Amino acid sequence: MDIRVAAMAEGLVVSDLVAGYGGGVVLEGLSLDVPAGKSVALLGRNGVGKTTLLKTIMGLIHPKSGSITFAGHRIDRREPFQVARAGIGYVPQGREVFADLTVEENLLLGDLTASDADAVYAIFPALAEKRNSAGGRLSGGQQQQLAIGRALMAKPKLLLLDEPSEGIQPSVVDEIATILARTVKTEGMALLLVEQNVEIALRLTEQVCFIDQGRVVASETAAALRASPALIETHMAL
Amino acid sequence: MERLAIILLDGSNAILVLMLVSLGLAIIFGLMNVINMAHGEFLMLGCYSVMELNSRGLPFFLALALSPLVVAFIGLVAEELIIRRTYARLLDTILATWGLALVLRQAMVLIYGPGSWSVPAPELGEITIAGSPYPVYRLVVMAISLVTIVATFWFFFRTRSGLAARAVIANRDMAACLGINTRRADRLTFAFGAALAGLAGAAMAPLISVDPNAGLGWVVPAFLSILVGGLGTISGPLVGAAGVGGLDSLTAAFTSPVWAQFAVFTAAIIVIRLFPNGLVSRRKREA
Repeated sequence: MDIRVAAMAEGLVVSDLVAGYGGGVVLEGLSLDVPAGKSVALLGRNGVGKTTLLKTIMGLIHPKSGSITFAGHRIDRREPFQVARAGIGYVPQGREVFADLTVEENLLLGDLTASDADAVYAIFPALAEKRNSAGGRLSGGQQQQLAIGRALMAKPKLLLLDEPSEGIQPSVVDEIATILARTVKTEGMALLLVEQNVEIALRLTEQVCFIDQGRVVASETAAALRASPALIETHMAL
Repeated sequence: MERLAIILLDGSNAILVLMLVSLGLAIIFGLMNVINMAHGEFLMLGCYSVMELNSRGLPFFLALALSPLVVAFIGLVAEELIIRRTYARLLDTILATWGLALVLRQAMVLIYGPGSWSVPAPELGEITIAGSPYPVYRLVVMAISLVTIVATFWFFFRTRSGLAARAVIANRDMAACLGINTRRADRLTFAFGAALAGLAGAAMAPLISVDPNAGLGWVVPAFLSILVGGLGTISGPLVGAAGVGGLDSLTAAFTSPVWAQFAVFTAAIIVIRLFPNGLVSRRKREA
C-alpha cells in the first residue's frame, strides 16, 4: 500500500473533477489515477468527456470543483504553460501542428532550449527527411508523428494523447503505435491515451478506464480485456 | 530629373517610416488580436519624449535611442492596466484603445498645452544627390527605419523567442500547451509594438510639428497598409506600406495632398475588392 501511495504521489491523481464549457458540465465528479510510468487508456462513446478531461488536465479548461494533482502538486488552477513545464506533454485531437512553420520549428517549439531535434528524428526518421517542409504539407500520419515528436521534445513525465489514430491509414497507425510503445517504455514515461481504436488502446496501455456521462464507470486491466473481449462490449454498452 | 530624385527620396522616407508604424500595429494585432486605436498616440508620445529628453540636455541621438524605451514602458503599463482585460473581445479592444488614445492626447494637452512644438533637427548638414541638396538627417531616419525593420524580421525568424511569438500568433492555446508563457508574450509584444511607433515618432519629430494630434495622420495609412498587405503575416504590412506610402507621396508630389488621399483610398478599395485577404495572404492550411 505504501508503495502505491508513493507511486501515486509521483503520478497524476484526478479527484471528483467537475468541469465543462461555459455553463454546461461534461465531467461530473470524475476520478482517475495514472501512476508514474504507467499507461492508462480511456474508452467511451463520443461526447462522454474524454477530450474535456485532457483539456482540463492541461489547464485549457478550469474545473468547477475537484482537484488534479501531478507529482504531488496541485495543477488544477495552473495555466497551460505551467502544466506543460511541470512535465506533461499534450498531443491534442486533430494534432494542431503549426501548419506554416517547418517540421524542425514545430519540434523546437516543444523545447525552445534544445540545440537541435535529433532525439526526435532518431525516433521518427520520416520527420528528419522533411525537416525543412512546412508542417501543413505533411501527410496525416506524418503530422501525427510531428505532434507526438513535438511533445516528446520536452521529455515529459506524462504524455496525454488524444485519438492518435484518428483519420490515419491503418498501416501508419500500426507503425506509430509500435514506435510509441517502445518510446514510452524506454523513457519510462506515463501515458494517458484517449482512443476509439480498442486494439491500439490495448497494445499501448496496461489499464483501461471506461467513461460514461462524465464519470469512470469501470476499470479493467488490458490483460483481462485481451483475454475476454466480450467485457469491452459490456462496458461500452453502459 | 533633380526634382524626381528628391521626390523619390522623400517617398522612400515616408514608406520606411510608415512600414515601422504598420509593423508595430500588425504585430500587436497578429499576436494579441487587439486593434490598437492608440497606436498613433504611441507615435505622438515618441515625439514628445524625444523633445522632453532633448530639452533636458540629452544629446539628440541619445534622446532618440531612449524614446522607444519610454514609449515601451507606457505601453507596458497600458497593457497591464487596460488592454489585457479586453483580450478575446475584439470590439472592446477598439473601444478601450480609443479611450486610451483620448487620455494620452489629453494628457499631452495638460502637460505641454494644445499648441505645436518643434524639435530642432541635429546639425548634420546636407549632401548633394543628383544635383540637389538633401538633408542628411532624412537619410539617417531612413537608415534607422531600415535597420529596425531588418532587426524585427531577424528577431521573428532567426531567434527562439521569435519562433515562440510566431507560434502564439498561429495557435495561442497550442503554444501555451507547449510551455510558452503567452501572458509574457502578450506583454512584450505590446511593449515592442508601442516601441516601434515611439521610435517612428521620435525619428520624425524634427521633421514634423509636434502636437497632441501628431499621430492621427499616421494611423489611417497604417491600418490601410495592413488591410492591403494582408493580416496574419509580418511581411504583409511592409508590402502594404510600400504601396500606400509610395502612392501617397508620389501623387502628393505631382498633384496635391487631397488628390493623394483620393488616389490612396481608391487604390486601397480596388486592392481589397480584388484580394480580400490582402496581397500577401496566409497560405491556406492543408489537412
